[in-house]
Amino acid sequence: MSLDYFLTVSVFSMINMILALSLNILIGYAGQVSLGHAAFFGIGAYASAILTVKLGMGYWPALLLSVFISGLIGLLLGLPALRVREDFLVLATIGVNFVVVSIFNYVKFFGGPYGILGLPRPSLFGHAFTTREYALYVFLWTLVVVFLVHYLSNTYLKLGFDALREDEDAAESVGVSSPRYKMYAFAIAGLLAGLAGNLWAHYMTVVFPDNFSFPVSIGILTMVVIGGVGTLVGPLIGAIIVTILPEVLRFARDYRMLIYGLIIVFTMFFMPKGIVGSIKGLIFGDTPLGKKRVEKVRRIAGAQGRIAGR
Amino acid sequence: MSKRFGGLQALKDVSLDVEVGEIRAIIGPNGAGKTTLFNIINGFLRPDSGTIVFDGKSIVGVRPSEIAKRGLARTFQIVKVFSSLSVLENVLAGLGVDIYPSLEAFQRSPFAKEYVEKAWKIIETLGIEKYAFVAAGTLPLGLQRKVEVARALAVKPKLLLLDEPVSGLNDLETQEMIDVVKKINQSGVTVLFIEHDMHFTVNIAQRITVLDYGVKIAEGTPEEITKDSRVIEAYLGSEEVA
Repeated sequence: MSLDYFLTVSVFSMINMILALSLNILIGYAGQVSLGHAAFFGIGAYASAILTVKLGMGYWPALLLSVFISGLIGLLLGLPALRVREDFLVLATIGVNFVVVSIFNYVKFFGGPYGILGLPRPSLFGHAFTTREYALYVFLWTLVVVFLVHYLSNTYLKLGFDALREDEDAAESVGVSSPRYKMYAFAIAGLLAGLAGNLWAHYMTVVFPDNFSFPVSIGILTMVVIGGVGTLVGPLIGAIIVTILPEVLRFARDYRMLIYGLIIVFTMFFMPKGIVGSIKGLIFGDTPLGKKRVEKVRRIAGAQGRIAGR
Repeated sequence: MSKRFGGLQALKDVSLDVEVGEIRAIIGPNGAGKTTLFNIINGFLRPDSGTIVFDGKSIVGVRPSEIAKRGLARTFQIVKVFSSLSVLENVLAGLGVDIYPSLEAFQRSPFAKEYVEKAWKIIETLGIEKYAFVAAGTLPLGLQRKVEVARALAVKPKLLLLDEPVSGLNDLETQEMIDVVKKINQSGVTVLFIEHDMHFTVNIAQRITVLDYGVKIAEGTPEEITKDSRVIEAYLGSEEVA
């Protein structure tokens, strides 16, 4: 196995991790099921391609702008979520995916089926990143995203998402405005998927409409489901599995969608909490709060001169 | 206020004046419009006509989340606890009422000491410490109703709406709920509740409002209401004239 091959698989894994974490915020945290996540991924990639190739912008401003644009479009495409119920949202997001890919395909400005070629690699102090440096660069971004998501998981934002996912009426009754929190979820997911799109596009240096089609969305969904919906580590593990699986099963490449489908069905039937959720359940039992948190709460409640828990 | 769903007049010119500090009951046969009234008060539904004044300000057309922030909390007839969250998190979620709309939501942790302490006090008030770390959805109905009350209390309400707080509860649980609601009221919270259980209602309500087919047919103290002929008629049907 050559180093370049290893680097490429690693870069894809890390970009998929960002995508999976991003989709997990929508599905696992806020309960907004999206089956069109590749659209946001594509918007980030195409935005950066157009800014750098067609408008001649440098990589760094294009990075900022493309991520911002993805967040903004994520917000706009999230608007249907404010109007439609869960099951219709699934359909609406699939529709969004097809519309976005069609625009890439049929609107000349976006390069049509031949895509956009010749994206620059980022450079620092006049030195363009080599493939190895780029892999490191993607690694740093992945770390940033993991820490960001981990940080947000400990805030009232997350609890607001939880409330929204569990019951919209009850969430409203405790002060969580459902439109506001849905918009937050779509904007954050759009930002992160846009970042993934940017990183991917400037690694490949070319973008085609097919890179962001519906099967890609299903791939991202598979990562989240197999790893563990709503967990932090689950989507990371899911991303690695789904990235490496086609490499290991080369002979089965044409049946990728079939395998994704089987994985999702199998996971849903036999371990609906995903790999991470199931393992946690085995070790810590069926408690919704982590062990650390329970202990912390016990300490605080105990400090008040009371005895906590069972 | 009035509310119509298609051809059904759910509420017709119902007027209700709840005084600060009281415990008021709303009773009436099924379909009388009680829950509709609650849904209008807390902002889930908009009245077709009329006004709702809470704490000196009109709250017609205001989002339910904003109404909650102004100090109006509620529970649900069909319990709506956050099932997969622990009881503690359910209460912590209520304590976030002022935080959710501001950017502090991106900074504050629900597991910070101040929130956990407050949540624990509320959990103790309801006597559900034992279940603090259990997923709320796995608890029996009686405990889920308590979790809902705890979550509503965390919103720091001036007015608490309880939609059938003891429906489906056994005698012991009902008695516990009576004690809890009295305790809450004594701490200065106005309580407005819907209930079919007359033992519960007569025990704690200072005044009772009776709805029937969307119309207010009586209002008064428990003694007055239990003797009122229109109320008896609404519940038992009119007396046959021989």
